[in-house]
This record gives sequence, C-alpha cells and structure tokens, in this order.
Amino acid sequence: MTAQLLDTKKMSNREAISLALDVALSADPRVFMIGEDLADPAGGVSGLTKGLSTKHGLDRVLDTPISEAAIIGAAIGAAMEGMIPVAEIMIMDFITIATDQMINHAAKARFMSNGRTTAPITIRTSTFAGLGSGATHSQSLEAWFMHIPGLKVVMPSTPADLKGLLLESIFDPDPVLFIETSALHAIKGEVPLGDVRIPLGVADIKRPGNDVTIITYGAGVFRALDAAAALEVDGIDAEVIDLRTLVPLDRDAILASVRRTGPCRRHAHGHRVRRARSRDRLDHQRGAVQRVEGARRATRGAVPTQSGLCAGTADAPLCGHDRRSSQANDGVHTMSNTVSVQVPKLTMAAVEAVFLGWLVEDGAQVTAQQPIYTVATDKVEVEVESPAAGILRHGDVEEDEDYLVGHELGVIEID
Amino acid sequence: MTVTETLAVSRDVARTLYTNMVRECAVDERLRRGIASGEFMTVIWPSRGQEAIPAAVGAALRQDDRMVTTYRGLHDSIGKGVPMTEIIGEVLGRRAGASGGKGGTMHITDPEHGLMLTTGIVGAGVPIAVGLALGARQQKSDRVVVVNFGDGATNTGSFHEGMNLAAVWNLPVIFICQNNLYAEMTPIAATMKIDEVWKRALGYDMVGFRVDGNDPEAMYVAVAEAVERGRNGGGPTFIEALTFRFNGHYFGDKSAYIPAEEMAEAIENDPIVKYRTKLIGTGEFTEAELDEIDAAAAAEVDEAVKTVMASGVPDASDLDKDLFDGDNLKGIPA
Repeated sequence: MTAQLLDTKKMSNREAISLALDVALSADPRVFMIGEDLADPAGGVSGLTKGLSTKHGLDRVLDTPISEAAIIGAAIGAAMEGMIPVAEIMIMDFITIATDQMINHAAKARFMSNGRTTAPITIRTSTFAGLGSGATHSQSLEAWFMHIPGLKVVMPSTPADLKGLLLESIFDPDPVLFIETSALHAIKGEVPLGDVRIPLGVADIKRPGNDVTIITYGAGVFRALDAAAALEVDGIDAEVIDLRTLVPLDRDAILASVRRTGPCRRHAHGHRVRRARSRDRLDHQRGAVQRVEGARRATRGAVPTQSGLCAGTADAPLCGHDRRSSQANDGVHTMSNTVSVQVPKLTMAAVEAVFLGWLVEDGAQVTAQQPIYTVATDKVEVEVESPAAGILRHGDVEEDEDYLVGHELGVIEID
Repeated sequence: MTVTETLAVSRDVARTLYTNMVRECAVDERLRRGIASGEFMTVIWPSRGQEAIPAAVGAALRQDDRMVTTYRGLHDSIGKGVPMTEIIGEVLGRRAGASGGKGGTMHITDPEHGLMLTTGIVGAGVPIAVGLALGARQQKSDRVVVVNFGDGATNTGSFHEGMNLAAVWNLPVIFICQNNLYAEMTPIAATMKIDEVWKRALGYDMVGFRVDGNDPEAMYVAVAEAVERGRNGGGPTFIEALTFRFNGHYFGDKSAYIPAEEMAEAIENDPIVKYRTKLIGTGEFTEAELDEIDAAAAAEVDEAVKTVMASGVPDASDLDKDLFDGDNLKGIPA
C-alpha cells in the first residue's frame, strides 16, 4: 500500500473522526453508535457525529440518557450478541462512572469465559485538557487503562492516524479505548478516503533524527515537534516517535530509535515506556531516560491558557503551548493602554474559529459592545462585539483563515 | 388418597419445576458437603432456599433466551439448562468447567444455553442485560433476556441506569429481583426506605409486581406473562420474587445477623419440601415418582463431580490465553 495511490483529502482531526465513523457505519450493518447527544440536530457535543443519524438512521446512532455505566454495559451486551458497538463517553473524566463495565466486564469477558463470549466494543472518548473547564473536565486518564489486561488503548494525534486507527479499532476483535484530544481537533492534514486502516501497535516516526529520541503521543506530539524545532537551532537533531497506540506498545520502534540516538526523552504519563527500555538495559549505554509530563496537580478552570491547543496542519502545527499561561485571557492587558481583541471561545469544546472579516475599518473609533468582526465555528457564526471603547487597530490576520481561541486579532487603543 | 390441592400449571410443567428445584438443591448441597469435609477447596455463595425462582424461569424460557446472573447464581445456571459438569467444573476450577476452570464460581458462562454472563459485581449485570436485549432487537429476534439480582443490587447506580434505559427503549428484559431480605449481611430495612422492592419499577413506568418466589407455580405464571410481554414488543417487566437464603452470604457465614426464629420459620417453609407435599397432595404425582427424580438428581451430581475431578486443572500457560484475540500478546505489557 502506498499512500500516493490513495485518494486523499485535506481535513481536520474533527472531520477525520467523523469520516471514520461514517465509513464504519457504511461498511458493516452490525456497527452502531451509542452515547449522549450523538443524533442530529445536536450531532455530538463537539459536532463530531453531525449528519450520521440523518444518513444512517436513529437505530444506528443511538442517543442515550446521561448514564455512562449503562452506555458501556449496553454496548458490552450487544457486542456479546455479535454487534459492533462504538460507544461514546463524551469527556474522558466521565469514564470514571463506566470503569466497572470496562474493567470488570469488557476487559474480562473473553478470559473469564474461555473465549465463549467477547466484548469487542470501541469506546471513543476525548480529553478536554486545555479547554478551560476545570479539574473534572480536563483529565487524561489513559495510563490507568494501560494497566488493565484485556483492554487496548489508542491515542492518535493527526487526522490520518485518527481515521485509520479508529476504523481499525472499531473492527478489532478486542475492546479498545480510543482517546481523542479535543485541543487538537483543528489540526489539518491529508487523509486517505475510504476504508483505509492503520494497524494497532505500530508507532510512527513523526520527525526522523539522530541525536535524541522523543517518545510521545496525543497532544505531546506537537509539543515534541516544537521542541525538536527548537533543538535544531542548537544543532541537536531530535527524532519524534508518536506511539499512536499505547496498548499494544510498539517496543520495537522505541528500541530501534534509541539504539541509534542513545538518549531518550519521553513525553507521556505512566511507566510502561520506561520499563520497556529499562528491561533492555539500554539506559546505561549512551544516556539517561527522562520523563517530561504533566504536574501531579488538578487542572484549574475558567481561564483557558491555550496550553496544548493546536491548529494549523499536522506537518506545520500552530500550537498555543504555554504562551499565555501566566496571563488571564480576559482581553485586558494591564501593562498598556490597549485591550486585546481575541478569538472568543464560543463553545465548550472550541479550539479555533474561522475569521470571516472585520466589520469596522482599521483606525476607526468603536464603542464597547459594538460588533467589530465576524467569526465562525463548526457550531455557530457570530458577530463579535468590541471588548472596549477606543480606536480599533487591525492585527496581521487574514479573512477565512483559522485562528486559535485566544489568538490576538487586533487591539483597541483606549483613551 | 384425598386431593387437597390443585396444580396451577400443567402436569408437565409441574414436573419440570420440581425436577429443576431438586437438581439446583442437589448441586448446592453436594458442593457444601465437599467443602465442609475438605474434599475440595473453593468458594460458593449458596442458593439453598431460592430454588423455586430459577426453576420457574428455566421452565418459562426457551433455550435461546438469554440470562444474566450473579455470584449467587448456581441455581439460576441449573435452571437455565447449563450442564452440571460445566457448573461444578467451574466452581472447582477444573478443565471440565464452562470456562475450562478459569472463570470460577462467580463467572459461569454458557452461551449455548443462553447464560451470557455471571457477574461478581453487584448490580453490574443489569446494563449488560439491557445490551443483550438491544442486540436481540437489532437482530430482529424475539428472544428475551432475564437478569437476576438481589435486593441489594437495587441500591446501585448501575441497576437504576439499566432500568431506565430498558424502559425508555422498551426492551424485552425481565428483571428478577430475588429478594432474600438480606443484602449480603445487612437486613433490607436498613438499606432502603421502601417496603416492597417492586415499587422501584414505578419510577420507570415499568410493569412491576411482587410474587411469592418460593411458590414455583406462581413464579412460573408471572415469568411466562413477562416473557409473553417481552416477546410481543410490550417491553420490560420487573418481578420481585420474595424468598429466603438458608446458608448465609457465602459458605461458612453463620448468619449471626438473622434472628433464629426468622431462619427457623424459613426452613420450616422450605420451598422444595412444600412443593413436594403439594404435588403429592394433588394426586397427580406419587411418592415413588418424585423419589425417582430425587435419586436421578443425586446420581447426576455424583457423576458430574467424578467427571470434573478427573478433568484436571488449567495450566499456567492457559492464563495467557483468551486475554486478547488469537492469544496475541505482542506489545502487551507483561
């Protein structure tokens, strides 16, 4: 299979996930979706399932009560009967309510019955880390599930990987936890169309290098690519490995890379990766293994920091990182006489918006609450009001371009 | 002899009910005897006293109808038609068991006889039963799903989530609460405000009622009606089957929390003894015919134990099997 021969289309992570679901529903009548708010007109909390119930029917895209244990339990029961359920847990933090079903039932069915029953469900969920919803809507809990025998854990980062691995997960004979990253939903890239799958347990080198290996996954991929670019300035050639699936883990790819590069820097949660390396006694050869990971803290809420939000393309991502982490994102610059005009966070899961154009000329006097420009997200199109009275100064922005939530479009010079 | 009672079911059904009860009891008693004497070591959650419920369920269901039960479910498995060898083999962790000895007492599975899941997690079987019923609907089958649980399970979130989903989707699930009045070791009055568990169904606008779970004929009539409803698209039913548990939460539990007079009265009303007396009282059955059923059950259990003990235990290597499809552990953390 060569990528060049496939029909591809440029799309976002959001569109790639939606396409994978559409392809799976079309490919096999046993496939169905079950979860909260999936059906039209809601089309999912992040708009990922928009259009699917209209196209495939309400008996294929099932809206449930807010009952996470029942969602996963019902998926398990249907899977035991030979159906292929794709369950959605809206936000990863809510998976805590469904863990009994996942850990004690889905993961154990095949073993406890000696193969007489299986529960090959796919559980799609998304971490909302970085979207400002606080400590119970921001967690990345994948490391927990890596420790459960019988569960597979997949956490891709790019549109092509999301689509290929979601299709593979849906038709995989074992239960798979498929974790999406909402902060990456705006990332765009070329995606093969049709039922093109990527096998589980195969890592992908997102940037080849010779001096150091950075092993990562999910949102960490784009931070690692950024870090690699920074290292390049210092003459260090870093290799970035995107694990893509955490269970099964591509130990061969990790070991092959670190045999070449020696030092290893890991950007992840949990201990499995380091153990894989330690067991092979590579640590002492050329350099130490280092972990770069989230602090052992709860996540604060209300103040979106842009941390981890990414737009742009998979090849050339535009990521917010920690640029604004020390600065309240309420539009007010206290150090000067200007107020920042920033892309508003119009929905809970919003990462980016399309700037549709200014309603007011550069240099014009505006009043507070006067509409000054228009933006669109997947959910809404709105005219945005000025955050203050003063002179509007347009920033270096272009119409019909995507900008991250919090991106400065211009400023208001106040009197 | 004088006919003192009449059958509420056909003679054939009555015979099945009695046979099921006796077979359920024979397995439970044989296992308790074997554990007590040191013949084998295992853990069971005895079902003695609750036999009438699965006897009726088994008689009212088709083989392809599904069942989900719990760790106190040996009687349910027998009633559903799971072979004794597979049940005892699993309880004793031997290869002859339904899962080759890897599941244990708490996890007996026999899809060929419709037993899709035995769960050790209180309440957790309820949402899975709803999924089995969803599968039946999606596959355009008229099979129904029975889910067994105790009074204690009705205090879990999973139970309520599953009840609500079955009701709102009008699925063919028959919820059977085997109310033995004690949630593990705590009396029901200390765990719920309502005095009758079936009232939980009212909150879901689901058909619900209480039955004497120690009367196999009343139980059969109730289950048959629920099965009919489920098969014909009439939706779920909640049956509270009032019963009692003679041997504690687990084998070895002395039931110190059950007043002696309450236990004595329950044993006085042993459902098997009562039903045997009734059957003879109707004039439809003779002592000799019922003795024959008793003897056949005892012989069946003895034969099953022999087969099980001769079948050996699973190897350590079996523990790596059936974890993932095709036993493929590449990339799986050790």
